[in-house]
Amino acid sequence: MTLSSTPADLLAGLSDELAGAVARVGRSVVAVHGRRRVPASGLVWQSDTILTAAHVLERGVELSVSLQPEARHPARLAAVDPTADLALLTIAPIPDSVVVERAALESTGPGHLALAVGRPGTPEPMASFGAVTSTGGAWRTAGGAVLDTYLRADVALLPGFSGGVLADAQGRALGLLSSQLAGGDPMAIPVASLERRVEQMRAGGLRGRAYLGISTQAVDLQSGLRQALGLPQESGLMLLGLEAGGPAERAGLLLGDILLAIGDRAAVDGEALQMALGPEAIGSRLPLHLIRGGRLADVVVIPEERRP
Amino acid sequence: MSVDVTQVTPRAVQLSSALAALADLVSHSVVVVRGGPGSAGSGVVWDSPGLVITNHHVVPGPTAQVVLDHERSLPARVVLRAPRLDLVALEVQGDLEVSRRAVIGDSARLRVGDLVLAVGNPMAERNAATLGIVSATPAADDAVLRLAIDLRPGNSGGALANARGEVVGIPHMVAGRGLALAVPSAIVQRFLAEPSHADLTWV
Repeated sequence: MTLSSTPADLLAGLSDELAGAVARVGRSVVAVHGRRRVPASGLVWQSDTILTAAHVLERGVELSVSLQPEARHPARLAAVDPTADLALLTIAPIPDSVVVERAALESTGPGHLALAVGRPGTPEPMASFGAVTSTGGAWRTAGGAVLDTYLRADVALLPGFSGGVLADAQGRALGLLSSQLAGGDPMAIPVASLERRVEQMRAGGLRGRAYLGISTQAVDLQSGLRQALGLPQESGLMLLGLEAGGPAERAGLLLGDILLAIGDRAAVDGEALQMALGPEAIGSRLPLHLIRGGRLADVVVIPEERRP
Repeated sequence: MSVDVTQVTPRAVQLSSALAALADLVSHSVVVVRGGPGSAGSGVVWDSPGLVITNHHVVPGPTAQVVLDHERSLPARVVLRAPRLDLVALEVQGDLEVSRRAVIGDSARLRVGDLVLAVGNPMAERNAATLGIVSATPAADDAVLRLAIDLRPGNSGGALANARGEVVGIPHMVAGRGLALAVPSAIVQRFLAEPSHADLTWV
């Protein structure tokens, strides 16, 4: 028993095209050796520039990239943006590599076929396959960056696929993959967002998140206390941890203080705290409004840049 | 992207029916193998008389039951075993129709990105079909084919087919979410042809 020729040819044709797409985009996907365990992937963004995920680089590991495992090319970290999980590496152009062909986000959408392609130290690129699940507008990455577009696909993120590419059925790049953008889900930053972000990274205009050196727990405020202090808000953030010598301790904050406002933002939960600690807060005089010992108090803190 | 919802998509419809036809074709060669109490996996009717290939870990003992459709069950005995390759060859006693024999493909011709369809019996589901692609091809002499596919334990010993419905491997291990390993058909063929070279235990 065999398949009638038409459906078999259709599937075999599709199979050929997918293998061709992997081979095509695979020329633009390198292995990134920057950590002690399995290598990750990177995208040939320009002939001398590799784009990869920031979280795959470890301190103290000599950086290199490769197409073939035995031919390592030294790389230099040119810029890093831990909030968007992006890193730019500078290299001497690699023979046989090709600058990745870009596809516009508008050329795809839910239901379109997609390939995830990485090269975790393997001689050939590796791939997984699925469909685009959704695309959309402004969102906040797990690291806290606000990006203007996203691309989600039901492709498998195999080990070492962070820094690899989400490609369309023609082998054109749709976006850069990382397991750290959305808590392990396959999420990609679309190429147009990457172009803008890379430009900002190059201009040095990107900084990390602001850092206070505190850990907090949201607490409900007793109604008696709220009445006595004339507080409209029902919850605050109690300080449970203070880093020794950190910005908050230096500003005189104490364990047990209950934060009510950070700048002009009500400190009702951890998300409000995160939103208040964007890069613009670094080095600024940030007023904190709080309850200490049942009384209102005000403290000014100067946040530092969070170390990646 | 803007999509024209009024337009019928003949290629997507053709593709969908082609996949269904492929799953049906491959399922004719897939059987349930009961290797003992509580041990059930899949097996493939190979292209020689009375021969079923499955995984070593599916059949720990010297005999097994091979269940065809409609629960028709035939006794079988292990004639070849290679624990390191996770392969077992069963000789089925009884009528195993010639029409069930799989067409064996050449795993050496697979490329990264090639479509594959796994057909097996996970969780007592008969002939469950799962679509995926080849994620890495085996290096020369490597006994492992890596697949980007979501398989479940009972897929072990079943068929991994290419887009033409030829069996190119035997899935034998789920290696993580979306990743599975298969024994390439070239290794199975060598296991059958040159037992002395294939880590064999004669039984």
